[in-house]
Amino acid sequence: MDAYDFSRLTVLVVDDNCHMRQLVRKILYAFGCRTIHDAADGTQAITMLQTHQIDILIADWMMKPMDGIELTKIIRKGEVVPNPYVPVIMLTAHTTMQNILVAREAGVTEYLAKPLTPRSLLTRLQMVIGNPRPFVRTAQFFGPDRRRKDSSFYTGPERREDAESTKDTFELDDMEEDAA
Amino acid sequence: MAKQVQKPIEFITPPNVLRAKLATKTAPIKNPLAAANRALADMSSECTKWVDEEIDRLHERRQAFVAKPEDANALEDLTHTAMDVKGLAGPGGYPDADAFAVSLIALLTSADKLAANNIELVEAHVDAIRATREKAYSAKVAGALAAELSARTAELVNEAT
Repeated sequence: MDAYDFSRLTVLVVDDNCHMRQLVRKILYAFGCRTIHDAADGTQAITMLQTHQIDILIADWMMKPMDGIELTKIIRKGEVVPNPYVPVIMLTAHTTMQNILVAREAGVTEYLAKPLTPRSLLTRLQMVIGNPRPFVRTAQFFGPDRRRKDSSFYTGPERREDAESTKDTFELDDMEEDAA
Repeated sequence: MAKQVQKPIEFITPPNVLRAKLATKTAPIKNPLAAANRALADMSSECTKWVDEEIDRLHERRQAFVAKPEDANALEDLTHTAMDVKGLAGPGGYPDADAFAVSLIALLTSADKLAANNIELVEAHVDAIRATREKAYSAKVAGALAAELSARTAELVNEAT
């Protein structure tokens, strides 16, 4: 595995709880991150994304007025933020499988269950940097491929009619571990 | 056999700019995990103060919810704070509170009016979290109580969904 110099990374932490933001900041700083921006909700995050070059976004799900799911959908639409491919790590206490599917449908890249641990955060960062998911565009979905396998070599029948049809064919990988 | 489809699917593999930007032969911080664990240990008293604030807020929001169990905002506020407690309980030094928070969140979010119809169970969870802070239970007792509350919640969730 590659070693990473996190001091070159720019992260945006979005959480309406200032204590959670401080906790995430502290862990990122210990990893070596030196450029850490924060926002208290999705609306502020969009402004930050419009005005700063953000490499990775770590967002809470439950925020007002705009939550992390809505924020992710807006990012993936690519209409108001410059980079629709920016990795979104969803940090949340919503850990049921149904919630994970909602997050995936919104275009979340990685799912990080509370309580946050340094190991879980580091693993997600390494995943996003070293093994990023390809993106998929269908009539109804744009976002990271919800199956981590390399799809480019698949020669069998196409099972995706659209984004809806993939719901029953997910191969739930690391996200499942977090939900357990 | 799976149905063939007409709709186009586009796979896009953007260039991995992050790896290009961050990969290095020698990481500047040899053991980032150890560094982060040390940082958290250094701020443990601060984390405890934060989670204490969240538990106080949980109690206040429980009271608001009990007063108006049909109020969607009261339910949302209580859920929100339960999630914040879950996020901070471990780093704040109350790992036993995590299990109570998980079960409470399930009770509050799994089905419509489940919490409103089971106020006593909601209160039992919040009281258990507060008792954990007061160190009223040993870890063994807290574990047994969490298992009981969790089983009761799971039963109600299964019935309701």
